[in-house]
Amino acid sequence: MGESNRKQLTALVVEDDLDCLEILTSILNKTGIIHCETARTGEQAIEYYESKKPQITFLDIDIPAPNGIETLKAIKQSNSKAKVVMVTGISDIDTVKKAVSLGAFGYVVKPFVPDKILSLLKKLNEK
Amino acid sequence: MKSNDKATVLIVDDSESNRLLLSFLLEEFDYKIEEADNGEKAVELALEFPYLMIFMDLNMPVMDGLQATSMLRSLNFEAPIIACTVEDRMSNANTLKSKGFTDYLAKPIELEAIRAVLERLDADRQTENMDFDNEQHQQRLEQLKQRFITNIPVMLTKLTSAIEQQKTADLKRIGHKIKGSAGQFGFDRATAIGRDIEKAVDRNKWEIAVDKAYSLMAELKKIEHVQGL
Repeated sequence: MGESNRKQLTALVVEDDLDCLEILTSILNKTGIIHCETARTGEQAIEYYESKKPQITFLDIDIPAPNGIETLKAIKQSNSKAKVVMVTGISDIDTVKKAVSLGAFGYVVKPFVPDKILSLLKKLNEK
Repeated sequence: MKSNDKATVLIVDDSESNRLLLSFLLEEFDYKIEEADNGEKAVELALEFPYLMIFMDLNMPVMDGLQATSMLRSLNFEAPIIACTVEDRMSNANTLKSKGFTDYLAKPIELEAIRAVLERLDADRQTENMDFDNEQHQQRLEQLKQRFITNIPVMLTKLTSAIEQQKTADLKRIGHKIKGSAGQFGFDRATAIGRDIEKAVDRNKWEIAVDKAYSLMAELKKIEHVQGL
């Protein structure tokens, strides 16, 4: 991803629930190495992704129009190497299978555990 | 990898007797044990709960251990996954590592073999952390939790109104919101009821949704009472 692990990363957080949005951005911001942008709908997410190409996107599955899976598909069509972490309140195998088949980078089930988020960021730096 | 309580490990095997035997052996190490009998259930649980490690049988119905491990690793799942196998052809550390397994145990599993695997895991475990201010994060979480509690009367009003006016979309939205946020503050029961409401509305089970909405109201009042003390 870059010359150094300390390089500033850009992240997009897509979440329609304000509390969850704030918690996740708070975790990301506190790493001190991430510049975080937010979107509330799939449409905003796709638009933002296509114009800014953030290095990692945290994408809630239950967002309004289009939903997270459809948004993942659109982002992957825009950039097949996009790193998209799916975020959800429930771990459901059919959704996991869809996310995997579309090339999701990670799958995070709420409530957010900072260590899990950080380990995904580390993986991003390794690749 | 850290845990304040007893660390939990997941045993995945379609044979109940194998799960019982491995649970028995792992008691020696003071782990809390959870079980799954196929790979699909293992994937769902592994993504949802912070297991210290997973002991995965290879041959299982529905989804085998190789597929489950491959699926988890493709999602950058980090926890160690130990293959449990009787198959000689798979009993090779390098082959298994290329499939995403961290280590393996040959069946019949013996206590000393488990001990050796755990020692290897301890030696390999990376403990370095990113610069993360956990204390500040907890403070912010506490502020958001207080905001959630302060907002309970508004949620109760919205719930009552959605029930009285039979607004299914509103009820679903409230259930969805609670499902998404309450668990973050440790209100797991409210999260579960929120999930039930959303599911009931999706399935057009209005009576169940209403019943769950009343349960949610009681739970929210309880949270407000206990947390407000």
